[in-house]
Amino acid sequence: MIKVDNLSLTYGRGDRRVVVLRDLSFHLNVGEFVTIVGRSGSGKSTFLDLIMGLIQPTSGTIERRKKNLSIGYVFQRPALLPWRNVLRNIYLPLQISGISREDRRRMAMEALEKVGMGYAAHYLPFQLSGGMAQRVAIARALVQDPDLLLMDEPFSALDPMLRENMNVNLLRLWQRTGKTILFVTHSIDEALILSDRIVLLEEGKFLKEFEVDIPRPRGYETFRTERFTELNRIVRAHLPIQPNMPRIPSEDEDGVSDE
Amino acid sequence: MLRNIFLKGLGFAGFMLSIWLAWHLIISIFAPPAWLFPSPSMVYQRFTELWEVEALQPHLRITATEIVIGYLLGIAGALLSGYPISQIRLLEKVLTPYLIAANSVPLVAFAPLLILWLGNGIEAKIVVAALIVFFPATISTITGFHAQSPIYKRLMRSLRASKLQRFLYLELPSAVPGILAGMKIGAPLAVVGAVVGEFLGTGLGLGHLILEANGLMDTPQLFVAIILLGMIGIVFYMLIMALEQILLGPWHNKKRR
Repeated sequence: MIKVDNLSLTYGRGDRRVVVLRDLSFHLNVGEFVTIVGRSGSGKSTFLDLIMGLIQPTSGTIERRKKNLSIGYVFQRPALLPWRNVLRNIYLPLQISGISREDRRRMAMEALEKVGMGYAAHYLPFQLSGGMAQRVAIARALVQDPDLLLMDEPFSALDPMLRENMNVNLLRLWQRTGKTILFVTHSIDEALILSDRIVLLEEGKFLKEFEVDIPRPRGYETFRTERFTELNRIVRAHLPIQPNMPRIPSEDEDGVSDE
Repeated sequence: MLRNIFLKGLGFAGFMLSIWLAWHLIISIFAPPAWLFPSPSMVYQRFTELWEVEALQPHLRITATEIVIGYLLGIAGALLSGYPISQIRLLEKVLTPYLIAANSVPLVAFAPLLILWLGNGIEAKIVVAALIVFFPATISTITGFHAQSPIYKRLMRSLRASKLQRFLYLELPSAVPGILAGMKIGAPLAVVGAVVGEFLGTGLGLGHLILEANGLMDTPQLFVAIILLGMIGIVFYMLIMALEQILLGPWHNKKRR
């Protein structure tokens, strides 16, 4: 569906030149669920922005195999407009595309049903919990029936239990709709439960790619399987320890050395 | 909603009643002469006298016209200039210090100049009211248009919204609280602007009625004019509050909680 070749992005010039992404090559097949795992500031969200076409690369190419590939985007925060009710938030993309009033209401309602929130059509965003709001944001991204869904750490603000629940719900949704999903997270657990493939991104470079061979369908019990634990250990082993992170000295180290 | 309006109305009635009682109390304790501090009944009597001979209505009409037109012009000017200023960084950088400076100058000081330029008619008073409303409302409008979170801008970009769509679906609605704040600040200022304009000339308007009553030591008439001005201000403010409720509704109620 998408093929990325030698993609680089730099900001500034001369001494102020900052390399955000360097020489990334990547492909995404139709119907695949791929997750990019990386720390904060590793360039994950920027990569999604490039795929979306919101920014242009400094060098390299992004080849879309389909003309007019439609893309839905789910952000880290739900970004629901607070003055619009749930239904009107969901049909915003349709309104922007010029779809008629009746059609957009029908399509928005269908998308809302897909995320199991048909009952909340007339709620205002402040009446929703974090998980509900993010489900509405997913429905908004699905409303135009996009070929590709980009998800930028959509559950990172949720508590761990709710996050697990959202992961399982997303899996069910993905199985039902067959969408191609490119997901970004810093949680290895999340990446393992969801994906067919995991790509590790560190300081703007792809470090390693893993096939996730945990059988589907996956659910809550998958978190407790041996294969899940084993893959978790393997992926973690490839994550470099950050050398510049400040640390608290241990008891046998002299924390005050200037005297 | 209805319960809310009823409670607010009840609160307002209670407030007015306590002022009326306090007024009576002052009269009965200190017994001041009528030319210094008339009783409520004397003021009411003067009001009915003036009303019956239609001595109040033309003044009330003219002042209300000045306030409403001046206010609307000031707000329209604030909206028309606030949006481009908020969008063009250079314009904002250059103009904001002057807007703030102009807002700190007592604009009523310009009133004599405006009367000199525009004559003694209604026009000069409308311009004074409009000017006095314009500056704070513009600053509020600019703040309002800056009030969007970057994530919404990103959302609009990802949805490939046109400039007009961004304005209609994001920028304008998110600026509404700021614009309404400016409108609320502007409402009493429009009353001040119109009355100050009237103080400086013309034979019409509640400001003129105040000056006339002062000259004749007709203190009950002075009170009638002041109370009427206060009532215009309150009605005006309540209309804007109603507009706020219609435009922002439950979203705003949540924000205030």
